[in-house]
Amino acid sequence: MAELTTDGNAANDSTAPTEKRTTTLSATANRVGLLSSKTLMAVGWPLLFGAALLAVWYAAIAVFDIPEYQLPPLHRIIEAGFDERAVLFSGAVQTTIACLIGFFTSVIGGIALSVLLASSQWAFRGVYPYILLLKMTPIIVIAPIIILWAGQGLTSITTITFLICFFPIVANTTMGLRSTDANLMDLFQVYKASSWQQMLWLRVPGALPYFMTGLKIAAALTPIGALYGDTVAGMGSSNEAGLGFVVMIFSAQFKVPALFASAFVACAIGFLFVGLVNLLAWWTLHRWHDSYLLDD
Amino acid sequence: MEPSREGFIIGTLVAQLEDEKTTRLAGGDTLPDETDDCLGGTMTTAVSQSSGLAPTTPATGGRATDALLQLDGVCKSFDGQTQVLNNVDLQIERGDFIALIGPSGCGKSTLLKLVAGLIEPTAGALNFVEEQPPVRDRLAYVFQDATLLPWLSVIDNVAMPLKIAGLERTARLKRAQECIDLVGLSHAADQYPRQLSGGMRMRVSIARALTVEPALLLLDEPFGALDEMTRNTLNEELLRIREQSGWTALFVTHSVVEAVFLASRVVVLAPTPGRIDAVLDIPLAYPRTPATRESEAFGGLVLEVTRALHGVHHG
Repeated sequence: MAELTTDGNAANDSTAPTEKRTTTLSATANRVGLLSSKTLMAVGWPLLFGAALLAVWYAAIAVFDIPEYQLPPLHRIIEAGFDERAVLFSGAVQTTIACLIGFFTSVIGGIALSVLLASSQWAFRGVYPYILLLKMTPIIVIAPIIILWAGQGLTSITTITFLICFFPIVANTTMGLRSTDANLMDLFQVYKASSWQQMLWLRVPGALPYFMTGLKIAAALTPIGALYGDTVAGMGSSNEAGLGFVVMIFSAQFKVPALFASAFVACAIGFLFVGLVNLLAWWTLHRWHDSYLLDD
Repeated sequence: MEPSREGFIIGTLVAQLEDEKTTRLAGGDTLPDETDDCLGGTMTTAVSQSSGLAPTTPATGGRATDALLQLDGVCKSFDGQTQVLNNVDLQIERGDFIALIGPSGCGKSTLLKLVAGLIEPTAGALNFVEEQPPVRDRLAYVFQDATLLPWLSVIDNVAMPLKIAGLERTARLKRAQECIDLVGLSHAADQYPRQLSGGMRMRVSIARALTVEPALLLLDEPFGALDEMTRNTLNEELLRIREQSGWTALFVTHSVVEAVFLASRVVVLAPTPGRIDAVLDIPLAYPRTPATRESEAFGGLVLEVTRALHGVHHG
């Protein structure tokens, strides 16, 4: 915005506008204008919208006289976040660890099960209905059983995270592995490819877009799993409390600004996971997959 | 008949003279009730092992009958019900370029899949000439659409059959590059399929087929989706490449002009069930050029094939 104004002024101020000079200047202004409008759309517009939201936020507090324990202003949230930084940081670390373990075990387990389901019709017919059945059972019902078996603590939390991430990965990857192009299968058969060659060089890469879709869903669900796990199986000691447990404490203590601050931290963890997975998807797919065609 | 082809025919012939037995590869142990599906009734399911192919007899013109593959009463029905092919007899000579033409539903693609071994005949047999390595291991297949792996670059796509065969990376990329050069895509080796036009994709597909140095090349309407100009160019290129590598070809097409331009023999198939209606020799000398299409002889042959096809269409 500022750049555009400066440039516009410069064009107006030029006192001796030979034709050539004018052309050069307007071309520059044009280019800056283009750049600015693109930047405006990508960064400026959301920022503007955010500022408006913030204004409404503060105005509402002032006009309706909303107390801090219902809606704290942003600066109080930041203050509280700074005051509680030690608890929030260790909570974030604990939750991230739970997320990482749950996410990666579900990725490995999900791929392994999908390959098994895709390589044998018998395995698919026999096992898949039960996977669906387990998927239909709400995690809220399964969680107490897991805690019964694994006790309070990280094992239960990661198991809950695992279960929540596992199904989208299995469902999507299995679908991908089972929808290999029939002509490509024929091609591999003509050249006498073994079944593992077919799996490794044809079916697995072909299933990659599906797998990535599952991974994106799983990444978004991961913090939910870890935080929920925390609330039902979290440990209270200061160095073991995950973010979910921290939230419960702040809620019980009525530390509302700190509660809002922990929401922002949880949001950041979610962003980290989804961002990294999106990056991975872009890196593996953008060269060939149609879903990235528009980005070129 | 086609003097220009003598070179490689004789070349391969010498190597084959001592080894003229054939083996039956499929269909021998078909159940009797399945053979009832064949309408002809005269076909023999149990062709004995010793009933080989016609011996190599150097003809006066230097041309020899040197069968690469003989189809004996081949029948194919799906689900024991739908009869797709009935009693197909066809002898494919080494160096032949056979065009299979016929209306939809006459089993052209099925015939190709049978030869490739992707499906087994319900009755009858496919007798390949017995040689080492077996012809079945030196097949290449070019599909209707280019059938490329979208996640691999052109060169990696072309090298895939060699990767499957276990050739190490440098060797297979070298061979793949040769084949890419041969189809005129040297500049596009590192591009991805989605960046290529339909014609270019088809070239990649052909290059991939050439990597395995096929004895028999099966092409299932490879240029069907292309515009006529591109198709003509690729027809010419295909023949040029064949001059260099000398494979035998079985080519499915819907285009009479394409069939006459490419083939040494045109096989006209009739539908429901698919069967051979006529086999027409195309006595045009190779190499064939764009000028070939403008010759009177060419026009006459196109007319002849069109008439044969017309007969098939309208009983």
